[in-house]
Amino acid sequence: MKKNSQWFNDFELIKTFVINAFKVKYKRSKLGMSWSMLNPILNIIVVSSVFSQVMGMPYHTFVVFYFSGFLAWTLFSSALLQGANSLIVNETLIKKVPINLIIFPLTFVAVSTVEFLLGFFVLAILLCFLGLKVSIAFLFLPVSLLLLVMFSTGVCLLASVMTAFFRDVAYILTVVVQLWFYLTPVLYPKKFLVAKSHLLATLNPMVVYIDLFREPIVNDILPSPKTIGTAVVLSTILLYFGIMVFNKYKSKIIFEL
Amino acid sequence: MSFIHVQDVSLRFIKHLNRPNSLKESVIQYLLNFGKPSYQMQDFWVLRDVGFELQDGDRLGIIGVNGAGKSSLLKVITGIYQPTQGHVAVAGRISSLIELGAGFDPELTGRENIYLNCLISGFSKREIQKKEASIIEFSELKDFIDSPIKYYSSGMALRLGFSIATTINPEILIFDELFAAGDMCFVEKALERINDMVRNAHIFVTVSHDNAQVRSLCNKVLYLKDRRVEYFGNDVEYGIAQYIKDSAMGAMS
Repeated sequence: MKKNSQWFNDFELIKTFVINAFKVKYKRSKLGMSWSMLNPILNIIVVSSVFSQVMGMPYHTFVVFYFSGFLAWTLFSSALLQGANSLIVNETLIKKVPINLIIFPLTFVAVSTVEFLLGFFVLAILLCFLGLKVSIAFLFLPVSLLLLVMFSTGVCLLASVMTAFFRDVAYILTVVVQLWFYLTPVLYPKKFLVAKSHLLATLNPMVVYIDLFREPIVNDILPSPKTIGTAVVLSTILLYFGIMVFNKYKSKIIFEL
Repeated sequence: MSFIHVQDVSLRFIKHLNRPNSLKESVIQYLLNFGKPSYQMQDFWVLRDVGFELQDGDRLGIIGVNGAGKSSLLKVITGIYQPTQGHVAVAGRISSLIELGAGFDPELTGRENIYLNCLISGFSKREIQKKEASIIEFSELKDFIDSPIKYYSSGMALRLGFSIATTINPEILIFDELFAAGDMCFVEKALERINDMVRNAHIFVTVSHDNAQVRSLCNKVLYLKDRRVEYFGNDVEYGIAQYIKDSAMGAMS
């Protein structure tokens, strides 16, 4: 009973932190919350106008193609980069009030997920005018999202613990994430990466998660059973591992801040 | 029924001497030292074998010189620190006034901060909604309640923090020192409210350097000396006398 209400309270707290994050983020801007939708739109317009040329794809084809990978990548990378710092930026709070530490990284995953959803719906509607076909395969996307969020949560928890012990992990991560972006088929099709280095394509877990979104959105088909299977296994392992490591170190974290 | 059981609690901080706090450095040092960790760690005991029990009706004053471990003990009781050894068992909702407004987000309005702060203290939305009006009234912030906290004077922020912390009726009330800001009128109001809370709380624990305050508020005293319990019991006068005696000895030598 007490356990239950504790969980419920932590959930309420994450919800409040997420709402506050959005409130604060766009507070002084005239357009307010709509920035969280405008940002991905502008990004897609700009990047697509350059890279549709580079890739030699028609603009309207490339936009849809890029959109299918971009939002998934953004969710993962922003959850990872911001989550890594989540314990450090909340140092004062952690030292003054008893609070379940896992709330802080989870808040950042939640913020990234909400931004994904806002961006997705707005872009999907806009892209319908540019030739995005909404097919029955779209019904698989909630599953894709769930798997991606599980994976991102696991990675984010690990990163937050590591950053608490070694501050420069956060800086290393910004570089790693940038490199990782170019090694992930977001701007280009997967076959480019496979052709260059089969090993990289197999070792990079984000290849799998991009597929989970790209297959339904671009090709109107379900991801292959192998892709889905790999994602389920990866997400489960990382989430489990992340929670385990976090719980193991959580009582020590306060002494490191 | 509320209780606090503190059983043989020891708390250790680790002081890292020339410890690399970056991954890069630790890798380099690790390689340079052929795999042996290069930095020294010093154990630093903040509390040693501290034990006591409190039940309904107990009003405990924790006394001792600076660095004796008083504030750390409070943080162990509230659950901010996990004890390195020993156990802490607490039954009853705790309200700790260790730092007023610790969870304030300066970008948010006073009203939004009330919600945040109360949620952090473990209250449900419905409970907060019930308290909101009385918190705002007591803080005397009026219209300012809807502007961001970063525009508040320190006195205003303090009043809000105090109102939030004291509008709730905790079963266990924990205080670290008492506060000195806010205008005189508010202090009087605040004192009255503190006395009310102390009367209503099942258990009250405070850290204080003000012996007169301990005498008037507490029926038990815990004298921490050099991280250990020197005296714990009902004889408040005896505990304070010990403390004063030791302090005088310390001053002489």
